[in-house]
Amino acid sequence: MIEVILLVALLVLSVMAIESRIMRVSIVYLGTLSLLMSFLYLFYNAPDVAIAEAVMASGLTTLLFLTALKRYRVYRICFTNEAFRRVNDRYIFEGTRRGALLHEIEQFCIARELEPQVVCTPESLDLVAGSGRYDLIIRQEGDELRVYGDKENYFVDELEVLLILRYHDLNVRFIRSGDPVEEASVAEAEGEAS
Amino acid sequence: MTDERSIVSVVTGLLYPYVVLFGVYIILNGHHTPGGGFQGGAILAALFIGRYIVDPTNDLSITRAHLIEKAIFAAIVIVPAGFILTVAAQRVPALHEPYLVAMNLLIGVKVAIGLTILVFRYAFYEE
Repeated sequence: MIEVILLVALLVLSVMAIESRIMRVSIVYLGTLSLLMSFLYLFYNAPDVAIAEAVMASGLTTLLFLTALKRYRVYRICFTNEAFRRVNDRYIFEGTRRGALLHEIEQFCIARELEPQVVCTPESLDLVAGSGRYDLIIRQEGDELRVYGDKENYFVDELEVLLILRYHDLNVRFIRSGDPVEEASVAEAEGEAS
Repeated sequence: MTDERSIVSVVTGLLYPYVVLFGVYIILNGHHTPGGGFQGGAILAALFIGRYIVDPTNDLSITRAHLIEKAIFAAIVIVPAGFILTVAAQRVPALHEPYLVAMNLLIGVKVAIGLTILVFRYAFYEE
């Protein structure tokens, strides 16, 4: 009887973990799932496996998942244009096609449970990249937009596809490097040299 | 330190000695009760990872931990070879239990260090 209840609970929990829309809740469901699973192993006379399951699956992996979620939550975007004398938020965000693009990126972040923080600045790229505080740097140079992002981040992959499909008229170029902020200035220097 | 974090740190501090005791117990009794080197080592690793949750500072030397892990791996290879290939294994049955305990201890420490390195590398170095 206990066995049947546990097995049904496992099934329900795994479906809930997949169907849940909030990542953090999914992780908690997964932790509960492995706790029940370790109890089931104990029930099947496998205490060795039960200890390993309880420690590894419900302890370590839950912590690892939560750490991963915490690290990717805030996404810092910097929009820089050296031609600005001073930054006027209204000019950037309202009406223009560029503003629509920034809004689109923000919505894109929110849909993926990231918290976008957009900073607009007239500072030079070197200064912005050197500060090391941004995950994504968008630089406007004349009518060309250059986006500097991390090479290994899947989020930037998706963003690249979206922006190139929908904003091809804005002349968007993606420059991907290992470390977005440090190598952006290097890529820039190479671009000027060639 | 904010209030919510101090709750976590106090609770983790209270649990600390018990976690150590439990991990060492599981390692040392692994040869005739459930558990063993891997399970006890994972519990000991949970200790370091709990410390990371309370206070995320990177003051653990990863290179030194790597060195210790490699040394223990060498010991894991050398000790059984030395035990089985020499005559001690057949002549002295009293040595069997200390041998199992020693091997469990070695594996436990290796697993603890390995998992700690894994999590710390992930938390501090991987982007």
